This record gives sequence, C-alpha cells and structure tokens, in this order.
Amino acid sequence: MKDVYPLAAVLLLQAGYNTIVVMLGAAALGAATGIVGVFAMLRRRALIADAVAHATLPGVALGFITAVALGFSGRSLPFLLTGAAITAILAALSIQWVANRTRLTEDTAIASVLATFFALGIVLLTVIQTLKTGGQAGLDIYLLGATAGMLREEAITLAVFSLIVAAIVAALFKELTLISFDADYARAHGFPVRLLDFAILALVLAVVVIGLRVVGLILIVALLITPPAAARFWTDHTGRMTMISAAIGAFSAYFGAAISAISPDTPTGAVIVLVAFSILLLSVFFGAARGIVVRGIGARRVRATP
Amino acid sequence: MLAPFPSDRVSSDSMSIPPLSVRDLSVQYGGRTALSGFSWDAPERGLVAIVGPNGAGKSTLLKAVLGLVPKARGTAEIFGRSVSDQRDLLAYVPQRASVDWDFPATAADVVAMGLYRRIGWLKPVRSADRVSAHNYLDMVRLSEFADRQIGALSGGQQQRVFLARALAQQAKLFLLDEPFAGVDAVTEGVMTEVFRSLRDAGALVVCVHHDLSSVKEIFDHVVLLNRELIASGPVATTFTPDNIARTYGVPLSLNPGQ
Repeated sequence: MKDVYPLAAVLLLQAGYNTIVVMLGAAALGAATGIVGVFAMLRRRALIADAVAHATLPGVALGFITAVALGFSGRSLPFLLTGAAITAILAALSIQWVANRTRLTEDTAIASVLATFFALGIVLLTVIQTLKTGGQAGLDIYLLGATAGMLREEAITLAVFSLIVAAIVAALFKELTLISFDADYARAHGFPVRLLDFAILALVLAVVVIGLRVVGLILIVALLITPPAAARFWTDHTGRMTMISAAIGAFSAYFGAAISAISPDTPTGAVIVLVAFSILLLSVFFGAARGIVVRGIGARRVRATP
Repeated sequence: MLAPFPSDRVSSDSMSIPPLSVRDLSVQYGGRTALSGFSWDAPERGLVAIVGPNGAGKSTLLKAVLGLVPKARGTAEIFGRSVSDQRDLLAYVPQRASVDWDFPATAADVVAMGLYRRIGWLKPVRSADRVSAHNYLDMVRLSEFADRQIGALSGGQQQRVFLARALAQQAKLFLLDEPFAGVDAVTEGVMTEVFRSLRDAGALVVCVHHDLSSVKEIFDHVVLLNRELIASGPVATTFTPDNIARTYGVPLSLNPGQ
C-alpha cells in the first residue's frame, strides 16, 4: 500500500521537473498514437501497424552496430531510430509486394513479414551481445519500453513530433475519414486514395518509431488500437472519437510513465497497455454511445414504447 | 437559398455532347472477360436502366467508366472530355453493401461528404455545410434522421442517405449501382421522385438495375447488357420481350476465350 502515495504524488506532478517533462512527453506520444490509431483502425490497418512495429527490431540492432562501427555510442538515438524507420518501411513494402504480386492474401503476407523481420532482429541482438562494446543492456527498452532515465530533451522531441503528427491528421481529417468510410466513392470523385492511404501508413510508421523508446516495439500496436477501440463506445462521430481516443492514449501513457518513475524496473509499455485496456473494458460496458449498459437500457425503452 | 438541383453548370454548347460516351470498352478480371467491346452514347438527359443477368458486367461497366477497375481496352468520356477532367460533373453512388455501416458517422456526416470537393483541402466542415447537408437530407425525406448513426437506419434509409450525398455534389451525371436493391416502397417512391426532378432539371441518371418488372414504370431509357451490349434505346421500343430474351435467355457462347 505504501506505493500508492508516491504514485498519487507523481500523477499530480509533484515529482520533480525532469519526471514531469518525461510524463508530459509520454502523454503527447499517447495522444498522437490515439489520433493516428483512429484511422489505423477505421481503415483496417491494425495488423500492418503491428507488423511494422515488430519490423523495427532489426533496424534498431543495425542502428546500434552502425553507431558502434562509426565510433559513436551504440545507444545514440538518431542511429537507432533511423535504423528502425528503414526496416519498418522495408517491411511495409514487403507486405504490399507479397499481397499484390503473389497469390497470398494480405493477412498471410502480414504474418510472415512480421515473423521474419522480428526473427532477424532477434538474431542481430544475439550477435550484438557477443560484441565487445558497452551499452547492449540498454537495448531491452526498445522491446518493452521505459521512461526511466529518459532525458528531458528526448521527452521534448517526443512531444514536438507528436504535435506535428496530430497537426497532419487535423489537416487531412475530412479526406482520411472519407477514404476510411468509402474508398470507392472517394476514388470515383478524384480523391488521391493511394496517397491518403500512404499518409496513414506513414503516420503509423512515424508514431511507432517515435514511440519505441517509451512503449517498446512489441506492445506499441496496443497503444495505437486500444484508445480508438475504447473511444468508439462513447460517440458516433469520427471527430469526437478522435479527440476521446487522443485523451485515452495520453492518459494511459502518462500513467505508465508515472509508474515508471516510481518503479524503474517495471516495463513502461506493459503498464501503459494495461491502463488502456482497463479503459477499453470500462468503455465496453459503460460507453455512452454503444456500451452494453446503454444499449440494454435503449433496448428496454424500445420495447416499452411500441 | 440552395439550388435544389443542378442548373447551368455546363455551358449550352456542351449540351449536344453526350453526358456519357463509352467506346469499345473491355474489362478483364483475372483472365475472364467481364465486359467486351462496349460502346454507347448516353441520351442527353433522362433515366437510364442498365439491365442484364448476374455477372453481365453491369457494375463493372460503371466502375470501369470511373476508373475503379482497369480498362483492358477502350475509353469513356463525360461531356466530351476524359472522366478525370470532369469529376465535378458526376456523382457516383456505390452499392450499399460496399461500405461498413458501423462506421462512426451520422446520416448528416455522410451527406456532408458530398460537399468535401467543394469545401476543398485543409478546410473543415463548417456549420453552413451542415445546414446544406440537412437540406439534402430533407430532399430524400430523412431530415428527422440527420443525427442518427448510419447503422441504425433501415436499408432503404441508408440508400437515401447515399442519394442525398450524391445530390449534394450538384452533378449533371448520376451513376448509381443498384439503388433499388432491397429498399422499401417509401424509399422506392422517394427515389423515383428525386430522379424525375433531376431529369426535369436536365440531368442524366444511370442506374444499374436488377428488377425487370419496374423498368417500364421508373425509367425512360434502357441498356441491355450481357458482357457486351445487346440493345439500347428508349424503353418503349427497346425493352421488348425479344431483346430481353436475347439478354437473359441465350447464353453467349460466341464470346471467344470463354
């Protein structure tokens, strides 16, 4: 029980400047994933998002090796994230290629690409363990995420990137909604559906790479999909759903970062995902638009008035 | 005040050019010929039914014209120019079953989508646009359902929402895929009435249609199709038992590669 008081203190921003900055950075990330996740979900890109997230692992490993080879610290963020982005893009292209050029279906393509890239990443991590260089241990955080030890600058970068992502979605909001609802109609009326689909994928890639440090590549898809899934139970408008999803994502990430501040050994990503899932569970039952409770009351009312 | 239906958005000299002109259009689906050598000049205005058996290529024809499926051969022009230049003049209504009606949107939200091209990039839907969407919903007698989630509407109401979205585009050429499929009598009445007003305002309405018994009552032109054009023209002279039999009765075994 004695951990509860420190948690409350941390949540209420009484934990020192650095921790506060990190928590707010994580919240900005959560908001961005919540926003992008709405379109990943509505355009049915959840599985692709999971595949590209797992496909960042070989990129992180190659980034580490490259950095060390060039005489930098293996944990320098630009190398790791560039590597992550490159292999994630390769994975997305591979999925498209397999789905379009072979007779395999898209879900088969996704599953095989995910597993292959992840396996490659694991092998490379094993290779790295044998290198005579420091910092290997720090790579774990990219699997499950951690905010402990995160620098203020990192957190601020995270927040800025997240705001850019949110601004892009806001700018393209009508068109992204349109292609998610009725792509044929959009195409027939001259909307660049392929380009907009590419934008969704690029945004997914961006938040996955940005979020690696905090949530980790194994669980980041949950921070993309759980907030919009929960938000859907509260409203029948895409706009409101996006705002609610952003709030749920932000709160979950904020909470996860707070736990991390008290208990640095707890993987931040796992905590974030469990918080988001708790909110989903509450939403399924009590959501104002389509929660089970509301629907039950609605059904009774319909029966009562013939 | 809103112009209820299209007025003078096409210059008068272009009125002699057919709203839709298709030349030698062929479409292949994985080696199978879905449509072959289809040529047709649409009448200047009116209500056209595209009729033919299942798998005759009716929906494919619309989709190929719009560029949703690739053409193996042939061209399609709208008012004398390529379709991609004339997207502002056309409105497409896909099959109702082609979208997810669980989508987080209300009837008014979907109708507002018909305004997106005019609103333009980077601009949000404003309250004036919402008012406009409500007016189009009113035209299909759904104003009291404006705020209802689309999945909570009946099939016929959903079809009318799609029609209202098309009306919002203020087009001259309407291409509708099975608008009468599985709708109730009220919807059939409302849609027929709206189609007639569109015709009277000078528009051309082309519907893929499956119900032979209602062709005479709703439409004035007909295109009989079975992977190739069988006959086209005014319903009174073209929709004859003989032509219907040729469309449905005799299997087309002359098509090479079948």
